[in-house]
Amino acid sequence: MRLNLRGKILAYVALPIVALLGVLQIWSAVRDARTQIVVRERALVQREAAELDARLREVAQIAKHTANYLELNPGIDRTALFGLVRRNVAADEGRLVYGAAIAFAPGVSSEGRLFAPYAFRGRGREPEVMDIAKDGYDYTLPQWQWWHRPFKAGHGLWTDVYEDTGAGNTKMVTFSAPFRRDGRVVGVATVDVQLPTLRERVIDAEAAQHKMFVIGADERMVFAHDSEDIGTPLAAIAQRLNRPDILELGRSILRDAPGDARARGWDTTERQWLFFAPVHSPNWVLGLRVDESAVLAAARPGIWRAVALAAVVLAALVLGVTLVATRITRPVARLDAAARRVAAGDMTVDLPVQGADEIARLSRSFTDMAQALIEREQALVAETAAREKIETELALAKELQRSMLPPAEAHDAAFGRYDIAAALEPARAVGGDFFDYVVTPDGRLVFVVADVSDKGVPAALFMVRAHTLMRSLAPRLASPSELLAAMNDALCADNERCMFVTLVCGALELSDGRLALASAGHEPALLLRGDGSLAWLEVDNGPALGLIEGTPYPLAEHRLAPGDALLLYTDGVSEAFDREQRAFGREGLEAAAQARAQAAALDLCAGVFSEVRRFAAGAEQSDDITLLVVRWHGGKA
Amino acid sequence: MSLTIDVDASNPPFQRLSLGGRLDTSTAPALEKKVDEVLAAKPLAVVFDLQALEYISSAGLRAIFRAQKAMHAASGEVLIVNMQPAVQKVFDIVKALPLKSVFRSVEELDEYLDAMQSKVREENR
Repeated sequence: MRLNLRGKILAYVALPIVALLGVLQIWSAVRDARTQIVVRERALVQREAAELDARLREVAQIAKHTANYLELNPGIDRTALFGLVRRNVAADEGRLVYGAAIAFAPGVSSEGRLFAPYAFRGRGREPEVMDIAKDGYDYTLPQWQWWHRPFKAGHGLWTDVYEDTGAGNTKMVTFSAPFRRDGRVVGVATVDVQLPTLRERVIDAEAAQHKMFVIGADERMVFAHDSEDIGTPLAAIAQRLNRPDILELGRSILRDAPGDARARGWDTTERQWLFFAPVHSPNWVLGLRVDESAVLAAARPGIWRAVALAAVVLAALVLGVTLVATRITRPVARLDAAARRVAAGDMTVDLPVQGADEIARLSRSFTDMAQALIEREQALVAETAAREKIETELALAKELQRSMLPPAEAHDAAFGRYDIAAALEPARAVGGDFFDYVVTPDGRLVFVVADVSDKGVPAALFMVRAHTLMRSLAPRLASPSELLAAMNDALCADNERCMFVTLVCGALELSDGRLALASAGHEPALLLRGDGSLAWLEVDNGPALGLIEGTPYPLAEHRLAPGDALLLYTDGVSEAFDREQRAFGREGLEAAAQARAQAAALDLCAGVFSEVRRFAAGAEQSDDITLLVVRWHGGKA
Repeated sequence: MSLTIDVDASNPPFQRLSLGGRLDTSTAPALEKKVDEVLAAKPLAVVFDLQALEYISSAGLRAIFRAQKAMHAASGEVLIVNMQPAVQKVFDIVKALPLKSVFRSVEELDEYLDAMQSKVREENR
């Protein structure tokens, strides 16, 4: 899933926080509800147990008082005894006492038999009175706890729950207090509490709501709010419900009281929380029960409060995050749009910037970048314009320089005595090489090849000086020697940078082929004879022009045969380098010339020139290249 | 390949520049700058040791002639030693060096310089 910034913040920050908060709140609500229930139920069970204990003690007190009275009045007559038990029943305002008896041991009474006056609540308003021993009820039989237990214990105590078949004919418990004569126990005074009645009194609406129950130490259910079992052994209930765990639960409650337990109750399939406390006088335990679902139900309002709180917090976070995300994304969107504009070439970017956070810094950087781009572009445009201007000027200069030279090819149109051809290629736009030729009025072809030191613009400027000088001096001077000497002296003046020109000058008598040559530090001239042989023409070389003032330049005299050709060149030819820095050399020139020795001047010149170019192909041209070929066909006139 | 220039100024009146590589249009300006620095010390002679110089173009020649001209103006000398044949040929063609300023070996050069030095001492005495 692709999330935007807001979605990411919500998904990875806000939601986990809210979820954690919600879980904590719910946990806390449940815990609070449980604690509240536990505290409440504990208090309640203590109170109920104490109340029940107090009621029973009050009843037991009647039997105790009667026993005391009998000990103090040993001679009481039988009629008074009947009145005493009736009074014991009638006087109980709580109407909890069902019956009361005074039972004597055999042989204590005057008749020497069992005697036990008994009063109980019958159908009428007044208690009914009888002697229970009269009907053959032998209360000394082993099953009658109310007779035996006080004898054994020596003090008053409660019986377990029992069904009184002799007198009450109902489920009851009896408190039985012994009385003595001459230090010997001679009988018991008793009060009976009918359990159905006790249950009615004890289990009010509140007790029912809290699912009250009472069990006895003899592992019987004394009574429970929702059960008909009164005095039923727990074992019997467990068997009936097929729930062996009920007996175990009952035993643990008896053992642990007061306390709590969680267990499955006998009246439900649900787990319940049990709270129980002892009822000391009859040795019972009173318990209360709360269904677990009720505990959860109690926690429910708290859970809803937690959920509501989480929802409110989530809503607040969504709102807050949306606001923050919008504050972040709006400038980012503006940046995005600006970046697109810049990419499209619109540099007029001005982003509004507020604050000093990362986004603001980014916006500032972006504006600065766009500004820098504008400046860079403007600089580039200016630079390009400047370079174009220089290139235009250089192109013009090149054209101008070329126009200073004579045509690259010429013939003797009138007499066919000579052909002349030249090629010149500067290493840069303009160069320092030049050639020139002229036919003098006295019938001489004067030609020159020159090379100004270095190359480029400085060489070109010096070339113009040298060439102009040559043009102005040549017509007035008789020989190449004089021309060179005059040029040298002129060029030596004001030549602080020591620019110099090497130059070879020839003067050919067109009528008879006499050739006068002078050289100022220049490469020698190559002679191609009509028979195909080659010769380097010896010239006594003088120093290059412009360096040593007042130097003489010796004249060398040769004679050409008809058909001979003369090849002059600059060191751009002999020192043309290939990619391995090997030079073309005089040997290369010889080979190239030999291959086309008989060709017309133009073809010879162009052929050698293209061989030099081919040799140096791929390497940077190191120097200006100039070739000049003069072929003499004889003095035909 | 570029130009290497080693300046030996251990004996200040005689500045030695050992050149190696190619002295052409692109490297000549560096030599001219170095020569100007050397000339500022007003030496009696500037020696170019061309032992390792493989190639010299007209621009390179011009740089050396310029040094020569400046030294002559200050009554000094430019001396050249250990010229290799290829370089020698270029100098020969242009023919602008006085013969007495070129030495075939360092021994000849040192002899000349010793003589020059003692002459200067005598003059100063």
